[in-house]
Amino acid sequence: MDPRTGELVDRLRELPSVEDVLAGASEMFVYESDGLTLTRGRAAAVAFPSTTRAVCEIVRACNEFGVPFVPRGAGTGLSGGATPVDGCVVIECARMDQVLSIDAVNRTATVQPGLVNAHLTDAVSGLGLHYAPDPSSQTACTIGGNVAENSGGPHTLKYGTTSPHVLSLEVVLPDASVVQLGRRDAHAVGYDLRGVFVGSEGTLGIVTAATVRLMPDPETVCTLLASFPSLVSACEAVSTIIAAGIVASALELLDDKTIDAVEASVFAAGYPRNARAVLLVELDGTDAAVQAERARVRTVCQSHGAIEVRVARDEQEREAFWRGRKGAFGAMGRRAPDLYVHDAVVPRTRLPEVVEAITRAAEERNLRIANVFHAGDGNLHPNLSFDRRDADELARIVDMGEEILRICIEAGGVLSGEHGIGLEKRDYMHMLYTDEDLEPMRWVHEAFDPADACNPGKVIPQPRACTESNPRHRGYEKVTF
Amino acid sequence: MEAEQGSLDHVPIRATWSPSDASEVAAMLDKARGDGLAVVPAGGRTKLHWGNRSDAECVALLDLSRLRDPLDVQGDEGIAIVGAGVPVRELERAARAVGKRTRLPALWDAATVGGTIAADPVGPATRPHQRLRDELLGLEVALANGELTRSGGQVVKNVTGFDLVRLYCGSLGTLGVITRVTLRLWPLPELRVVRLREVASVDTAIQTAHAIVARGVDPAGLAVLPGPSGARVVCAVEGSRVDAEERAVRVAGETVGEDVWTEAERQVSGSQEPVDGCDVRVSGRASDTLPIARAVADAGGGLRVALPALGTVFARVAADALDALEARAVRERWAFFVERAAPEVKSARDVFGPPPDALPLMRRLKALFDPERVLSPGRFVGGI
Ligand SMILES: Cc1cc2nc3c(=O)[nH]c(=O)nc-3n(C[C@H](O)[C@H](O)[C@H](O)COP(=O)(O)OP(=O)(O)OC[C@H]3O[C@@H](n4cnc5c(N)ncnc54)[C@H](O)[C@@H]3O)c2cc1C
Ligand SMILES: Cc1cc2nc3c(=O)[nH]c(=O)nc-3n(C[C@H](O)[C@H](O)[C@H](O)COP(=O)(O)OP(=O)(O)OC[C@H]3O[C@@H](n4cnc5c(N)ncnc54)[C@H](O)[C@@H]3O)c2cc1C
Repeated sequence: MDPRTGELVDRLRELPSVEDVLAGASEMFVYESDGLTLTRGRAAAVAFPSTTRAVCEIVRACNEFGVPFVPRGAGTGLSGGATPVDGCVVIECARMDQVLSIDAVNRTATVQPGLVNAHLTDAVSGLGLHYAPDPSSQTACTIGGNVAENSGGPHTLKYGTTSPHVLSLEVVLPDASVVQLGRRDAHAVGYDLRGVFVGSEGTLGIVTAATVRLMPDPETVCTLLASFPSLVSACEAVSTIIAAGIVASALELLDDKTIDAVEASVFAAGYPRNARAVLLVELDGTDAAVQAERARVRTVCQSHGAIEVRVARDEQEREAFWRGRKGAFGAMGRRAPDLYVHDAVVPRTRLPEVVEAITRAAEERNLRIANVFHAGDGNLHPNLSFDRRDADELARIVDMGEEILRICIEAGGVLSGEHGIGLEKRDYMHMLYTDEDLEPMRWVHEAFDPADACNPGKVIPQPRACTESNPRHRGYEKVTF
Repeated sequence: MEAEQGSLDHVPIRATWSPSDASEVAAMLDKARGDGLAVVPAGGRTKLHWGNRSDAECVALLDLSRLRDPLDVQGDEGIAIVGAGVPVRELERAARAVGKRTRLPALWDAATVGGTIAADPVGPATRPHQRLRDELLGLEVALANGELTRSGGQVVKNVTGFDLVRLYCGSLGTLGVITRVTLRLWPLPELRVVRLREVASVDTAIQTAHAIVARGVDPAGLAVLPGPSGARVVCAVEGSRVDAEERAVRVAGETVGEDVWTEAERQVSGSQEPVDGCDVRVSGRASDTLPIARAVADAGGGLRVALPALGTVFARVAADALDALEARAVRERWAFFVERAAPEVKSARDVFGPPPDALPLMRRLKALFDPERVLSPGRFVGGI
């Protein structure tokens, strides 16, 4: 550690409001990446604030020393958003995990950013309320991380991603000032800065409190599990359900490789092993509506050749159906040392052909792939198992990641549906946008963080014309994507 | 309308430009910047009265109503791609033809898709968790630097970079000119029922509306209107037949025609004719609806319509009562917006109320997007 950094660490340790500061080499190892192990960086220190004031003081100290800082929640991100830039200070928000207030009448809660997503619903379930955005990682990931990534989940289909559920944010800006974005009542005045902050991947400042919307629990929920002889017939069933005007709360698809992985794991959900695809359909609403829709969904699935359609008889069975879906990444993770969870979106009707093309591309590269989709949104997660110590396989994985994006963009899609750009896809932004398109994003960044101190080098690529790259944008040990 | 008389809040309109496509829009912005001329975008001109008086000496009106291409409704995908000048009504008709709808209800025939997005209005059909900005998937925007840019995409879920779409929505044309829009479509409901409940007072009506929400109705629209002998609660429910019928039972009251609903929307819009007094919108949390309605009455104002699910009250108040009502709103942490007032009244105040503490950030954004202040200078919050 150079003496200057040592001085900064000492300064951070002196701050009374900061709970803890880690700076040992082995301790930094834990923080060298998020859930995307393809990118790594070595932080100088990890600081644990528990109050807004503490965050301000850490940011102020970093600015004084000219050291960049990177906000972090649970580190479950899958695009390298929380990967440290070499020599930075990681601001770990996990200990800011309090529910600050609950307004049951207006159905809102104000929470600290380190609160785990599922703990918010736990805190309000006694009131018949829940927090709708439900990423599969919800038992670990934090509200701050969700806000930064604009995370989605199975129920995004009906209830939207994180953004519509965020009313206001207290943010420590990169210059250490505190600002309120949005209003607790959603009647924000002026530009929707709350809207542009959500999904900015920790590059515009640090969320220190969020006021979010709570939704009333649905009166009735019904979960169906339909298995199909082919992925195409399952996709067609999804299209027909949507065309019939049924607004399902979730339409999730798993392919045969995923079914195998799940059924061989602790997440075994009783999915039929002979099926080539399993479709989970969830319906919610009034009793009468759900019953009527359930019958229609069953008919649609059968007309598309479903092998079997099961309806969860009770909460226990419903949880079992979901266990397989929510545990899918974990189940696949057991099969190889590393797992690359990819994320892209295509127009829904193009799903079957896109999946076919991606599967073919994986076979050509001799890679193991399994697919999970938020089928109703056209959001696909091809999952590639690999061993990063095998240099040749690693190169094929990186090449495959790019190929998936090419296939999806050719089909009219985008680079990410919910995991964000981070480091993983930053340099692919030009596949979708021109430099002119990206310029307003740079302006937004410039307005919030003119010194480029907060999580530098993420999301927005350098202009193509720029040959001299910004030194701050280096400093990641990164496999070239 | 003012625009036709050749001025906007007494600021002379020097020219009206009618570009026929997006690249012409961009070229005109480039030229305006070169000439140092301020530009005010205009769609159907039904909300041009929103905003502060421009601080420009004169303006050119950029009439976007010819941007009617494309009108591409993709029923299977559940999206529509439309030119900014397409009237919302026309989009709605095209969507209906394939069993779909948008969530952009428009009352005025002239209202355009682009103008609606730039203005981001709320109405009786706005659900708290489904704002207009949540319906938008992608925008093409002509910037003050003369570039035509794209943001977002054409799929229903997208986190590719910063969410500029939400930033442009509600920016009243002060960051860029929307030329093309991709938005979501939803299935047409099988059944829609409008119910009316007449009660003795506005207070009771607001409480009744809250009780309807608490009963799990999830209304497709909810409004409280003053009535000849008390007040009316108008509630719309939509869904499959069994679902809408079930919800309608919970609303209680009598089933009425769409004209009752239309009246509620018309009250939100205020008059399209010049009026005495000022149209204001005061908003807080849902539970603030009643105190806001009372504060309006205390200020001698007339309630036009209250939206209890949103916490929003539309009222007409005398110009000399504005200051007191605004001061009250500030104390109670309500948002205060003077939607319509005479130019003299507007010149003397910020119609958006006291600026939020993020104003410096907003100013920096404006300075980066539009350094020469070409787009509607002075019209937005804090005189941006
Ligand atoms: C098994 C598994 C399943 C997943 N399933 C889903 C899914 O269904 N849907 C989905 O959308 N994602 C999913 N993810 C991805 C990930 O869980 C989400 O992106 C999540 O929101 C990240 O939260 P986190 O607390 O772990 O954030 P981190 O990974 O720690 O950080 C993510 C980003 O947020 C920033 N950040 C963190 N805290 C703050 C703060 N307080 N202020 C500002 N910026 C901050 C960081 O700088 C970083 O850029 C999954 C991941 C895993 C491992
Ligand atoms: C949820 C919802 C509810 C509604 N409810 C009602 C209702 O109850 N009653 C009702 O009357 N109407 C309602 N409407 C319709 C709506 O209020 C207006 O009529 C519409 O917003 C104005 O459209 P316009 O084309 O007339 O815009 P204009 O009045 O021409 O312009 C409005 C503003 O936007 C700017 N602008 C216009 N076009 C562009 C562009 N392409 N790019 C950038 N800036 C532009 C202008 O400079 C101006 O500041 C509703 C709309 C929605 C979405």
